[in-house]
Amino acid sequence: MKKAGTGKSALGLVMLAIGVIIMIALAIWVLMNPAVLAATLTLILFIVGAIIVIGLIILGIMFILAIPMYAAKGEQYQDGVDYSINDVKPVKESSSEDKKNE
Amino acid sequence: MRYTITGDNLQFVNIELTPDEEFHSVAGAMAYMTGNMRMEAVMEGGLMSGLKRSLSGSSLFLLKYRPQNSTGVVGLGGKVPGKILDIDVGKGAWIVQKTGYLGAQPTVKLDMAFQKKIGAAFFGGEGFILQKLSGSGMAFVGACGDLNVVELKAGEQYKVSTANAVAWEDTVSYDISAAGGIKTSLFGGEGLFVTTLTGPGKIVIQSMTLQDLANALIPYLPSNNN
Repeated sequence: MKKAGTGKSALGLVMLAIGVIIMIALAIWVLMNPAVLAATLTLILFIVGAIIVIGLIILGIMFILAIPMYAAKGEQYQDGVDYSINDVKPVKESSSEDKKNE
Repeated sequence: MRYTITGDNLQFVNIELTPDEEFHSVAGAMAYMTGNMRMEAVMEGGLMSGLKRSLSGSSLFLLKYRPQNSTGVVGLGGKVPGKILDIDVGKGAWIVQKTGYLGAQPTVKLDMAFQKKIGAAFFGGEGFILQKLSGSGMAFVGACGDLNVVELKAGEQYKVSTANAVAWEDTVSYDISAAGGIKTSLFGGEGLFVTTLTGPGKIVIQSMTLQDLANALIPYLPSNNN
């Protein structure tokens, strides 16, 4: 049994954890300043608002496009073309040997 | 590379690798591996490829598996109750629904694909961004529910409920069609559109989408009131 050293990786994880703690502490310290807190909240509200607006625009486009698209596409169907249930194959347990035999 | 796909509705794909072979999977797919197997997270193709993978529903980092001077086995599982499908990408490129990619041989290229038709992108149920598998080798795709595979001849068409198309060969034409008249559209339960898949090429259809499963479970979720 061999063992690959993970000491450096562990040190990296510790550094990462310390970094995250410092970032959280820094964020708390910055947010304790009312002006910064207000600016941050404004920014968050702006971003959330922008996401909602983009979502509404997409929904609006879908709403506007739906009926013309429905009218333009029509119900497509094939007349006089035979299909068989034997063509529909279920996905079951398989292996690389099965694939070779195909 | 040898593999088996085992299980019924929560399947495993078990992959046997010789010392000179590698396998890649999406992050979080590994269920088990033998003691001689090592895995490493790699940002295959660099940051841009990683970001493209993330946007197409895969992971920023891929996991690379390699046995250490001997033959080893790694087992992957899907993230939802469903089936795993093996695809020989060497026979032709495939388009796969977002989050479908599970793993593949390193010779398989995973890329982002876009819906080309605006109607299909908005109303096809699969969204704008899909996954494209090209190159050569075996790839594995996981999806919710049971799966059916149909090989369409040129001009043959299947109409599929929106979002129930899991994967299709690059040669298959993906579009939408009206579900029917006003009665069918309002009371048929399919909405205004169905997806049309026109051959030639193979298509894979699922019996249940993850959204269907979530909707079926919502009434039974415990709440604070009862």
